[in-house]
Amino acid sequence: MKRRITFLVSPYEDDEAPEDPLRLSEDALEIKGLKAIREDHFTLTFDELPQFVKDVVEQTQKLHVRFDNGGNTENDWLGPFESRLPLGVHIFAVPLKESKMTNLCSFISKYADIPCSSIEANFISRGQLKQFYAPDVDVLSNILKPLANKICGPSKKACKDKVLALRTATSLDLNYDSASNILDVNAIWMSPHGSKGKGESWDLQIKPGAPGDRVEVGVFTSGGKSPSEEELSLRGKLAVVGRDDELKPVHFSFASRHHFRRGEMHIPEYSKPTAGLHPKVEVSLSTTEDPPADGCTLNAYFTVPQPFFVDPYQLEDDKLMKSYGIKKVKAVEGETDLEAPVWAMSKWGAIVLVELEIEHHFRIWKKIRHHLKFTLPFHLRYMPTHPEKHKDTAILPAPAIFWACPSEQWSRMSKNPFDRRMLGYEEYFPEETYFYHLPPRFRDATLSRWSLDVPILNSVDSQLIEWGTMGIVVLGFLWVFGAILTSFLGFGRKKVEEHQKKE
Amino acid sequence: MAEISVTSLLVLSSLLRLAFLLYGLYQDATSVFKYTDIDYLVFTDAARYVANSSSPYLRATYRYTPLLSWLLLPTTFNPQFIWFSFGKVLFAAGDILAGYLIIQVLRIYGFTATRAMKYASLWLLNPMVATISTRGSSEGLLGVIVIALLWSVEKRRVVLSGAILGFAVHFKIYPFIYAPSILLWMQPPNQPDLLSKIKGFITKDRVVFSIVAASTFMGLNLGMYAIYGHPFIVHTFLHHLTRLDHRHNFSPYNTLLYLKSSPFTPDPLYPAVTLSNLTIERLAFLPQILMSAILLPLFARNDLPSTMFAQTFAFVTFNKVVTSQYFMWYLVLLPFYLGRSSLMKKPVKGVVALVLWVITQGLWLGQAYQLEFEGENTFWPGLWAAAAVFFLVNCWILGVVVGDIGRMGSVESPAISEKRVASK
Repeated sequence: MKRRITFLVSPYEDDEAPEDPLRLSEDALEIKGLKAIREDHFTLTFDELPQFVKDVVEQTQKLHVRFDNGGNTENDWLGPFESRLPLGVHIFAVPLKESKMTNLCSFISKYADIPCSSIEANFISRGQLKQFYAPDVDVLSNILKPLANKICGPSKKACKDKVLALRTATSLDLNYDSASNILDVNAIWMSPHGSKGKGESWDLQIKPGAPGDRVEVGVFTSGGKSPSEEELSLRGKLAVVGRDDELKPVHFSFASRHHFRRGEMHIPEYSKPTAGLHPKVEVSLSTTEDPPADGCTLNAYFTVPQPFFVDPYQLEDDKLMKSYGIKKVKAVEGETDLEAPVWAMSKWGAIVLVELEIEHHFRIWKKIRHHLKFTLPFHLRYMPTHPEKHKDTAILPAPAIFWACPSEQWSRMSKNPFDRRMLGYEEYFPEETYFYHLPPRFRDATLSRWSLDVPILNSVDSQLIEWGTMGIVVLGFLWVFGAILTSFLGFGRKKVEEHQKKE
Repeated sequence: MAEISVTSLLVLSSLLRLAFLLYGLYQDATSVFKYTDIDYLVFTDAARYVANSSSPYLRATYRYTPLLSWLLLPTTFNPQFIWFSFGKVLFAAGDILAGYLIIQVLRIYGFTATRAMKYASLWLLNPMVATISTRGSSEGLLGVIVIALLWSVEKRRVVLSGAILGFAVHFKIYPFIYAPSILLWMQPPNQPDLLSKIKGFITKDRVVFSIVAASTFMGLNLGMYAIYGHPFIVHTFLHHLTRLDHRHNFSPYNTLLYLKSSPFTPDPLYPAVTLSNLTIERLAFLPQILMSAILLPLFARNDLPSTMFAQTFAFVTFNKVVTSQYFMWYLVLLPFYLGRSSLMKKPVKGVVALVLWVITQGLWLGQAYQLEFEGENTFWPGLWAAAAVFFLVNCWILGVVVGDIGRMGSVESPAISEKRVASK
């Protein structure tokens, strides 16, 4: 197992660290009072994997599992960690040959407590790629306990602690590729306790766990202006713990797929008044003066879980979309049934990728510095009845919003040691693309998502509803039936009378 | 003189629809609130699939006969800004034709031209009817089919009547309820008592009518099945039998359907209370069919169009799903009934009926609006109660209608049947 730990210190931190926070000894690296973003990167070969993980990855050609706890609402420099996803758990899987990936399905239902009867029933299909998503930020902490037991065995506390430490990660990626037979695990902490907590700093000692393990530690900050827009430059110190005698200063640049522009963010909110079963989401974007480069498009990628859905035919209405600030709907994939209730759905939902209208905004931006706004219309499915509740909660994660720009250095990007592929939206852009992300900023929430109350039928009066309905129908029926009977009898009587008259 | 007046009434109705159509184009072009009905987009999308020689059922929520998408093929022609509205023009033309036929049938019933036109105006000059068809809803087409059926039955065109009925049922299942009333109506004159009526029930006309209707219906189905296979059966027929219909609508059953189709969580305070095994929602077709297809047809001899009106009214009222477009189904038959109705003879009663019908509908719409657009939980009891009251008002009106039709038989039918015999 190879392990790489990276600390990233913001270039905007004012206090020039008076004391060097790093101390390298013969077999350990001691870190004290380091304010930084941390990334742990583990590389495991197939043989090093526990059997139950082997069973899962063996059926896949490519597998990416990503957790995001929604705590990354920083709009600060994140260096190579700028790429963003809607919060929750994302799974992207390409089956090996014709595999049904049954082990992946039973894995998530067993450990993540997410119902999965089959990949076909529960994942949405994008050609070969199968995608799953849940807006649940607790999945990671729920899944780690049973996993730690399974991986470490019941008694090894140190091992378990190591696995459980991942619980506070802001994001965690598992990437497996059958071509290299390697599983990468990537965990990122915005701060030691995972969430925003400014001012917290790292105090820890890093030691290789087993004699054969390799632990590489780097502490970097921005390396100043990079040679080109698409490149990132880092400088700092680097050491392999237990092998190097001293921290080596480094300064390097690489082409990066994901970037950030200071001052750009988005502020999402439901349109007011809350629109009942047809809520609209309005997103305000704060942008800088111009698009980052010529030919860039501004895009929003939504993961739309049940009970929300979009009406693809409504999104086809160009005029309506234009009035909503949307230039083009690039993709709607997944579950878009327009009528069915939540309980009749087996798939998690759908994805929506839209390109935003920017020309008008930037044309008048210099005169009126207003926010760029767009709206996406959603609809809600009926949710199950409940005896104690009158409403249920529907969660819609904030979208990933980004500029997509034509890249010149795209061929070098996979050499980036922090490169991240397969996020769910890059596939809709050519290979020659790089991205600038606009992080979400919520007015009154700590997580980058909305929750909305959906009215549901309270079933405490179920008996009354049943008998009442029956009573009404019977009453109505009897009334009409009575009228029919009377008519027949009355008609009969009159006939007789007429008869008698004639006689 | 009368001819000119009919023509000018039809021209006036056409102008009304033309105005609505043009206004709709204007609104669609300028506003994000669309005049065009969502269903029209479904039909025209389906027609586009057909134009590309694929199946109209590739369009989600296309739940109609393929004939409708064939009929709308011109909507795919170029230039689109002209041809896209073809369907609306067709539906509006259907309206006008239905109105013309209403006048013709009323004349058969001895209405003077002026009076016939007055009642036909209920349909022809009704802004709701004009709106629905120019928004692109196909219910108007059904209106012309039903009136054509009535007209051909009254004209004793047995084969044509059977063919129209078969076609109508293929187009939209519900007209099957007219079969028993038409059969009963085809009563030979020389059977004075019940026994002779039963003995002599099988007549040539009835046999021909039934065979033609059944074979038209099955022929169309087999033809469509041969072309589009299973999806045709699923979307045109099975869907209507298996649909969940949990979303709110005017039907008194709708809250119950939501309750019963949803997974049930027992109340922790009364865990023993579960949903009953009463499956009234599955038996809902019983009162509906009993009323509309068995009991009410018994009045067919009294007055066929009024009976058909009552049947349709009952079918819609007792249906598991009721949307306002279904009201069109009986509205087209209203002129026939209203001319001989106590609701016209006693204006107070008529106004009360109309006001109650409108107010209870408005009540429901208010509750639905609060739920749908303001997110207020009006499911129970608000929405349920509104649907229940609306249902009861409809039942009351139906009772009045039944009473009227019952009286028609005793007072007027001899005159009419004599006249008919004479005209034969």
